[in-house]
Amino acid sequence: MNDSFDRLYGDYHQSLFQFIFYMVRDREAAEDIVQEVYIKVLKAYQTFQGKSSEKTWLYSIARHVTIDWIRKQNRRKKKLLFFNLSQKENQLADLQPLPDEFITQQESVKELYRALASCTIQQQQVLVLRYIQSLSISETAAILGWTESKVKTTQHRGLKKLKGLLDQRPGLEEEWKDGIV
Amino acid sequence: MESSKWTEEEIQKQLEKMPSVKDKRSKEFIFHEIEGKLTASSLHKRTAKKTWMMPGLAMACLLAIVFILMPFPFFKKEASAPGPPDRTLPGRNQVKPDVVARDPEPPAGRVDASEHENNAPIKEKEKDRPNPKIKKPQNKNQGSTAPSTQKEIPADNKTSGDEEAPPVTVKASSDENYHSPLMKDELNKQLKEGKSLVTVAYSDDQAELVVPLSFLVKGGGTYADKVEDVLGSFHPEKVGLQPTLLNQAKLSEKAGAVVVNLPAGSVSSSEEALLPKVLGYTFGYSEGYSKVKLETDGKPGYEFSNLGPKEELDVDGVRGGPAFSYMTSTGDEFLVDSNATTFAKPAENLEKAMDQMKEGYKDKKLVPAVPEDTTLHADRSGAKATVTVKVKGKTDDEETRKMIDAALVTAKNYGSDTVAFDNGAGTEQEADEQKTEQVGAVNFMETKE
Repeated sequence: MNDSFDRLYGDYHQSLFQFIFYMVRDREAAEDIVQEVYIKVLKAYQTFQGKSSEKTWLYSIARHVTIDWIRKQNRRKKKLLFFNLSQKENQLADLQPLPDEFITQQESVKELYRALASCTIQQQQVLVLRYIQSLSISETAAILGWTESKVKTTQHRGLKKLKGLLDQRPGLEEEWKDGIV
Repeated sequence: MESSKWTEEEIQKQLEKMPSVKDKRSKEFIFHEIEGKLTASSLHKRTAKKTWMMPGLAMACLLAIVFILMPFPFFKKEASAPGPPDRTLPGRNQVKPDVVARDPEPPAGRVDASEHENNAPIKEKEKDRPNPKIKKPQNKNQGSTAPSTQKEIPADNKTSGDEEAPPVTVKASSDENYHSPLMKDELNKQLKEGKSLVTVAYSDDQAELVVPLSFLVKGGGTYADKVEDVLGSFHPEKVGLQPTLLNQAKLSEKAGAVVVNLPAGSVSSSEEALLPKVLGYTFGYSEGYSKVKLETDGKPGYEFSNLGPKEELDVDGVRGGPAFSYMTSTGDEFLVDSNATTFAKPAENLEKAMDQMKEGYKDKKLVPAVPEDTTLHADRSGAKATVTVKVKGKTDDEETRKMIDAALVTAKNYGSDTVAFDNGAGTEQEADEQKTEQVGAVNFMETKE
């Protein structure tokens, strides 16, 4: 097996997969995308100059591939909408079943997962990297190619958006505090 | 039913507890899939080249035939047609077509008019005077007018040999409309990596103020070269601003001075009023030039309608006045000094400037960057200004940041090196973060790596 792949897989695979999954919310798509990321990474591995950390480099490629995928999906949806064929398709996409990992979770977790989808792509990226992946502000900024202050602003806006959405769902906060599953 | 009230802290904690989602496939399976795709893509690459060779050749031949058969008088007639000066120099923007900004389409009306009336003559003029600087960033896209670059380039594309990419490529759409300043620490970090700071002033729609935009650019050359690079690759319309007379000037440096070479009769009277601001913020603000030499079609001096003949203009001391928030028609938000306008009179000192910051010039779209229920007070001791922030109501973090940025810019305009924010009660969070930071570059335009 390719040594580079072996090492990258060991060091980053599950966290990369998780990042991609939370962005696209579709296991099959995440599987395809993570493969695509490896293909790009392995092709360019010799040219990696080490200016950024390997992790940053890997994540930024994952981010680009993921965003390309999301944009393609959005374009597809728009086209379908134009031809008035989209209703069923969109309903299916919007009402996608929750992943297995969420089935036994509290309602508030499920609701948060759904609310996350209402944030902009940029907000989602920041929230996933910062909180679900536990990356620092500087790591997040390096991956996204932003300034740290922009990460902070986007993070704040994302949290605010989530708060607005969750506040419309009474009882969730109490459930979370009480630990009801 | 009473609705629940989440705090941001609770949401953060909840996000941290989100379930971990794992790829259930084995490492071997994934490697096998990747290997298969890599082989397939290398095969496809070879065949793809062959597939495109013939249509490519055919297209090249077709273009050559069309170019040869194009009647010469058609160009000549257009070249002699009179028209007002066009601020968008087509030559520049065609050479570097891959600027990416928020709005992929420029304002339709303006483009149509200039296409008909102005583009052709300037194209001809450009042909007549060879511009070595325009040729500098030649790339594979040269000659193509197709705006094929309105999308983000994946990171791996850069690493796989796109070495001749233009130096300034502004990032694609963002939900961040406020172009905050770049802090000095971060600026220094970028400068150490070999980038250069370039500030270029653009005009508002009414030609009443200029907005200095800061860019970090790669590559060598003089500061004038870098300004030309920005002018050639950034479309200010995308952020609701307008090109200036610099967009049709040739810039160079002779004996340490910037030379602005303008076509005769290219400066209108409204632009004349903004001229010192445009030159000042572009050359005097971040780079500290004190004078700009003027030329007309390569000869010393320029004959202005109001200012009269001028061979050079002072550009130092542009900084000044309190900073306000200015929002363009595209929703982009910038900080603008009162000195960057033709209508505002800057306050004499920092203390008065803080008071002015609360008022703004709302009829001119310069609004206070300070929330209504906040008061600012400045005490200066030497180069250090202490700004006291008093917040009555609850202040949004975004608003606080904008206010702090504006206070920093204002303090810098009045010669303070350091600003300490003493916010008392209410905004402790911000005080910790912003206490010793300084403004490195105003209205920073993030560029793609």
